[in-house]
Amino acid sequence: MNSLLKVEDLKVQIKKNKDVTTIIKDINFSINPGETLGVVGESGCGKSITSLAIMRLLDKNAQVTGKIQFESHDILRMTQKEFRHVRGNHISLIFQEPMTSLNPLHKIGKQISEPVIRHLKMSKSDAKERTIELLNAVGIPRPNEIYNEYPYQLSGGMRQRIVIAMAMACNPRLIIADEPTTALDVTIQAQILKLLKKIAKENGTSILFITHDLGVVAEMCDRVIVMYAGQIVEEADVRTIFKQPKHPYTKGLLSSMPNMEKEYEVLDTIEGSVPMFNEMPTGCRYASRCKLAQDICFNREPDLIKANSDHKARCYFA
Amino acid sequence: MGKYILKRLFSLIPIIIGISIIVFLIIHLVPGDPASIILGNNATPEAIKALNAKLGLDKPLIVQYFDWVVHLIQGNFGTSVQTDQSVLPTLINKFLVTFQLTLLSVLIGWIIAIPLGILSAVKANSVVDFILRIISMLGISIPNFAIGTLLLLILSVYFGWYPPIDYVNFWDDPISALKIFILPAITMGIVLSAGIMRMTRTSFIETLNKDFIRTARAKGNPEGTVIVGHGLRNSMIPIITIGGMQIGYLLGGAVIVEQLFSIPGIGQYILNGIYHRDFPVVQGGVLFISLIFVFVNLIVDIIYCWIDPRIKY
Repeated sequence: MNSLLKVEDLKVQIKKNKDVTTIIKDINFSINPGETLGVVGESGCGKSITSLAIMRLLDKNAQVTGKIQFESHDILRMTQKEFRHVRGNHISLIFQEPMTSLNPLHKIGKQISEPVIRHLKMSKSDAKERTIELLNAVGIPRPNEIYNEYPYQLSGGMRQRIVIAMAMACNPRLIIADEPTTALDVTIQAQILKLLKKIAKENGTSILFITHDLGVVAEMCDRVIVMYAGQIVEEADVRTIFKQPKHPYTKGLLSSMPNMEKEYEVLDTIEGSVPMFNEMPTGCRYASRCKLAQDICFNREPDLIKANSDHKARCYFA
Repeated sequence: MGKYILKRLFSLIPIIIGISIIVFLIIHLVPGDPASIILGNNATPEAIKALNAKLGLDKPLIVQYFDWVVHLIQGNFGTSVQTDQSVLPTLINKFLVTFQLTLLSVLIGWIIAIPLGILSAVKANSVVDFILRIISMLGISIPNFAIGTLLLLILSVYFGWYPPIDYVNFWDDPISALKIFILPAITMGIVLSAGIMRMTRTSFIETLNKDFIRTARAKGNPEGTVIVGHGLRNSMIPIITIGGMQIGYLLGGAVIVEQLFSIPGIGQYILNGIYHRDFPVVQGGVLFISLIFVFVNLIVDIIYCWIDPRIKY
């Protein structure tokens, strides 16, 4: 099957004054049409940087190299103008913070219809019709009234629905959801996840789902990438990740999740902390926190090794 | 909105009363007896006494104040001691001149400042930004009479062009009026634009870092739409605040610039009044300007509500 998005050797470096810091490197993955790919990792591991790199939304001081193949084009080699037709149209983004990612001074209707008018070249009245339809689809009550309201008049969950409606507006082939439920409380989280799942299923939309929450991954994703310190450390389908994790970091993450079946339980933690970007070790980036680490781990960086056809891990002992 | 405006208008009443007391006291507590100044050094004590009685200055202060207020309410700002003309119609005439000058100055100032401020913010910390910031710093630092004099000098010496001296009304002869107004308006416009430009830059840099700007880009909007369509309105509140203060200040008459270009505006009128201890003119003039200032502030507050629906009073 031809993949929808194929990321090859993606590397992002940030230039500050004269220092160049590598934030992510050797990022390789692909998403098939209709598939939901989860990207998991703790804060600062480069998940969001990856998503912003795909959308070309990084600051000007970021250098992005590698290849991001979307359908038949390399996003990184498109001109600004060419890419504008993709952004918000074929690929769209759901942000983490619904409270701040909507324009506070534009009415809801205007914000949702904006990409519709721009990309689908709809007339104003058609765009309004489409917007109301979208508001209905994301489960907003009284869509005709909400159309004329401002973001500050809505709750966080409602706003995230608006953001999702905006992302769906042009029927994109890929939605990048960057921690879409992190800022919401648990009951709203479940509703939003259900909504995203419904969209993916009904429209055949692929989702790149970024989260730090393994519970959400289990709920949402077909395949999972685990990131650590700017690299992919493990990739497998969701079942395998939970049943047979290979990388010690993934195992650590899983054992730090609460388990309903055990009665008294002290949650495991992973000792130590993530190395700073400007002082990355020469060997395995996880070695200093890893119980299995041997000499080789500190001296030579492991590759992402295939354990079997679609399970890879960046560990000598996988 | 209507209710809010009404509420604000009512709240003006105590402010106006306060202003009237302060204005009255300042004039009357200033040393120097108006009658003796008006009549000159050789005046007889009888003549001074007679003038004081005519002007009502022999009554107790409190009575004088209430007399004044009662007249104000009747729309009578008194008559000029110097010219015997009624103060209010003259004030209004002079104010209209100042108003035209202000309007033109603000127009020039904003047309220069807003685009340059935006450019400065978008190109923040680049060479362009650096140069623009130096220029705006100069604009703030150089006093307006220096800029005005420089403009006059350059135009007259190198181009042999002098602005007309005799004032004409804009409605009678727009071209000549524009010739008179253009230099002082450019002078004040430059001064205004420096402040507005700095505020626009700061406000835009803050706005452009907001999440919703990233959202606007993620929707596939071209950069121009992102900056003007999504950024401008969100950056306007501080700009309007500074702009409103500047307008209020200018409507009070830019005395030095009016003097320099011999524009018969309200600033010049009041300054003359002060020279000649023409206290009805000064009293009425200062009160009038204060009212204008308060009124401009009210308009600015209303514009806030219109820009940002979240602002409720």
